[in-house]
Amino acid sequence: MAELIVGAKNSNLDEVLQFLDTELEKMGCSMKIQSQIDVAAEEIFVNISQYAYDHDNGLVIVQIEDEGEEIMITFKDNGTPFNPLRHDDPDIKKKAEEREIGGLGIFMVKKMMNDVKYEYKDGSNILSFKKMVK
Amino acid sequence: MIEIKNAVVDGKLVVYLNGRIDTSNAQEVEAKIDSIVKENPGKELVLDGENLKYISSAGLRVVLKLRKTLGSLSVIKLTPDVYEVFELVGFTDLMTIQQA
Repeated sequence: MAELIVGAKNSNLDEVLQFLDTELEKMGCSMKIQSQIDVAAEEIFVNISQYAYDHDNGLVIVQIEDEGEEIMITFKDNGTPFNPLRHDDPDIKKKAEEREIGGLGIFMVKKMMNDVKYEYKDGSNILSFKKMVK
Repeated sequence: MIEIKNAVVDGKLVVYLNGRIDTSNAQEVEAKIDSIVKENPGKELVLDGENLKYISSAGLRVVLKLRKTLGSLSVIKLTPDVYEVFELVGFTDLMTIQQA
């Protein structure tokens, strides 16, 4: 398992994606899967950096684990308890004029990844997802 | 991370997106495309995604806003991976989206 601890700031997004891409390359993951994992990771990380903390010193722990046929990625923060998965999915059948601008991010994570889970445990928000790679 | 160029091709305004559109540059991309559209009033907008490597929901929001503002929009030459993202969020029903 590899782990990165970074400040919960949008400006650290590149560092998070580079960390994940490096690990995914080591695991021999295809560009397509890497790109999908990056999209999902970006949504989760940006969500945390924007909403989890009411101060600038909050941290995010990013973990990536090779489980053989699957890769599991976990984000932890000690911010306000918040389950991003509880929001309704956007109605993607609506006409453009009626479509909301927001709400796409978490929907994309749910669609692209498997086993997307949230729990609040011992003062931490823990969001994890898996992706089949083999 | 992103390079944006534009040209008028067959009377249409084509904007070429080279690179990645993510949270860190989505606002910059939006401002740049808005200014290109303002400089070329009345022309149909086409986004050329031949060299668009990656798009996150922040980038998709920019595309959706353009579609809402302009009333029509084409996105062409997308790589299969990026096309899949547009399809996943239902944009293929909202605008003209073409794979390379």
